Amino acid sequence: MKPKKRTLIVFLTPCVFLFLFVYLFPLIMVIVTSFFNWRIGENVFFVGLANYMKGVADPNVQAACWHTMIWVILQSTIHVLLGTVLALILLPRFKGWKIFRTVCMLPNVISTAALAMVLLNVFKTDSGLLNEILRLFTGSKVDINWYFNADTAFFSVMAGWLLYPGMITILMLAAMQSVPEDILEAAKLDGATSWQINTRIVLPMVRNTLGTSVIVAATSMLKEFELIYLTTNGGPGNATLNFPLYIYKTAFTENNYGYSNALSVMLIIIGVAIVMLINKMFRMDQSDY
Amino acid sequence: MKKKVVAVVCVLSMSMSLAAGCGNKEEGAGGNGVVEISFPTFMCGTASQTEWVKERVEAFNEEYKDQYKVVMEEIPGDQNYIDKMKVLYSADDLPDVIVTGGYNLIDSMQDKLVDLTPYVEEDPEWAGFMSDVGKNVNTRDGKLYAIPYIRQTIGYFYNTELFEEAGIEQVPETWDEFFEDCDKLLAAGITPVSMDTAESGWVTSLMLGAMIGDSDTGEEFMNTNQPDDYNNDEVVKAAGMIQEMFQKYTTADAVGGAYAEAANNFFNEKTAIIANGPWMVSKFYDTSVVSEDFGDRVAVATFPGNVMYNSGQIGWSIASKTEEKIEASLAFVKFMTSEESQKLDLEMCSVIPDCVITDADVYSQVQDTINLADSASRSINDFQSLWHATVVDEISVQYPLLADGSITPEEFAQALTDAAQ
Repeated sequence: MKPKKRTLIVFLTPCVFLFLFVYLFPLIMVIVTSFFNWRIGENVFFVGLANYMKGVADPNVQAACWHTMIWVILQSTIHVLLGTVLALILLPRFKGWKIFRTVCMLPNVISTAALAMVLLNVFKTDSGLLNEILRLFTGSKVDINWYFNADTAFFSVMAGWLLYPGMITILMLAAMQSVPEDILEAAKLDGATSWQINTRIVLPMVRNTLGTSVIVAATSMLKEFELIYLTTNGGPGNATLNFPLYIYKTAFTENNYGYSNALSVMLIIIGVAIVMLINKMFRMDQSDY
Repeated sequence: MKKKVVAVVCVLSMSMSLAAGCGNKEEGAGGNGVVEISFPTFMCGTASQTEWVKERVEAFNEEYKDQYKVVMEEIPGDQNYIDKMKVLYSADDLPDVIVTGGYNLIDSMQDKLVDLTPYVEEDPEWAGFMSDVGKNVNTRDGKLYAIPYIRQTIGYFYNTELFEEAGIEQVPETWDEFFEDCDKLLAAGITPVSMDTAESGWVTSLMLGAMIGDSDTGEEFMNTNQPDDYNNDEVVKAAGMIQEMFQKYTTADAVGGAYAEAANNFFNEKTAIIANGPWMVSKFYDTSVVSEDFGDRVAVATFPGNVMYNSGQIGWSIASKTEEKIEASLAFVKFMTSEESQKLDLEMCSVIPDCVITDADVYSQVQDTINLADSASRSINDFQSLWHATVVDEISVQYPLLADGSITPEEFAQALTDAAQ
């Protein structure tokens, strides 16, 4: 064995062990147990595809799936668009751009529990910030219960992440800043406007990072849990229920681990399909420079 | 060469530490012969029994310092505690001593819990402290799986001054009178009742349970363990009354609000009524929370129909696996459920003991609660102990729909039935 290859193996070993113990073995366990009836206090026995059949027919799964897909689509489009536009604004490095960049990141660095408490106060009925602002504009008392009204809960919960694209901004800004200066200089000498440079040169050249950002945004919605749990707990009814929260409830409230694991496998399949689709859309295996 | 040696050592140490991290920790007798037992608890932080449990564990460790040591792990939030116990149960790694604070884990975990019957039988003095009601709640198929130490007695508290302002001279005896009094309070510009929906909607659900329990069949329902069908007249009627209360008689922050908001509204005298247990009483006299003399303006009453929550509660269980640990855990549980500990719990936290204690120094509302419970016409158990965990969780997401009229009381009952089944 060549020394270089040996070193490679030696250094990879801890990583491989970590992957095996932390991800692969639990993943295999989840897949295997999804075919069993496994509840606390009951015998474990094989049930074949029964958990999956139950999942397909479960109205809560249908609602969770629908909500998750809408949030994935909105996060992959509006959220990424906002992050990209912010990155384009910051790209010329105007005076104070670093402060602006830090402010953009703030919602991403404070704890979700704290953010949930802030948002509960923003959206609450009585003296909530949003209702108070609306009162200023309308001149009359507004007492909409944003989080706990079936008509407004879905979009109110979504406001907790859709409008804070700090992570996407940082990713896109780093990629945009690495576009070779000579190409941009050449475009300027040819008389290209800022709009043309951004849309015809910068954005196409950061296509891979854009694809990565879309994957980051989409997958963040596949695992969104804390903010929903801490604000609406999936309610009212199942108006804000998503896959991770329902998986949690089936596991820890219903104590039905077999069913919960079947739902987890369904979520993994959906996640892999989304990532593959985005990879295909953005031709992420090809490089432009 | 030197670099390679360092690299190999680093890799080996990382791999070994990983393997060690995945290992199973077996605790036992320490080097000095002291047996250590694990005791995770939700009684920490702002929980009402924090000081009591801390004091008692310290006292036990001091008294038995040559034999046993209780290692306490703090898990804030009773639901977090329950979730952790479920995970540990699945991993066959339950701690030595478990106390849930009302949640029923006996039915789902009894195969891992120690049958305490023989240990209690061989100690008549210890057995003598336990009430029959307490023992029944903790017994399955003739086997005692937990030692009772608390009696669950709950009525509702009301602000006498606000009642006087509204012209209410005596507490209502029927639910019709209750709603008439609510109208009087509203007419006097006072919001009648504190309610909530978040978490398990504790305050609201106590009202719901009391409404259900106001008949023979309702009382029977509220003493049935884990009912599967909520489609009955009592539940539908009670849900209708709760809907009316949400729409007319409570604060704007009730829908979506948690227990803390409901309690604050009562403490700040924004509302006149709150349903809760006597453990709340010490706050009535805490001037960092309430105004001066607030405690003197609060009295306790039974729910209309002379209904009271009055039942035993799930107590202390042991899940130790070795004889020496069972022995240590027994000593600890015996200590925590002793007459002295129950008396301290009553005096420090206003928690009603399972055993009869006559010489405790307690607030008047606590003693009144005990007296009212003893004379109540109907005794019911609380929903959190009785109903499926899925139903308790479902309540919090169905209340907002009930409140804004999106669902009918019948649909509410059906939603609970679906969750139970």
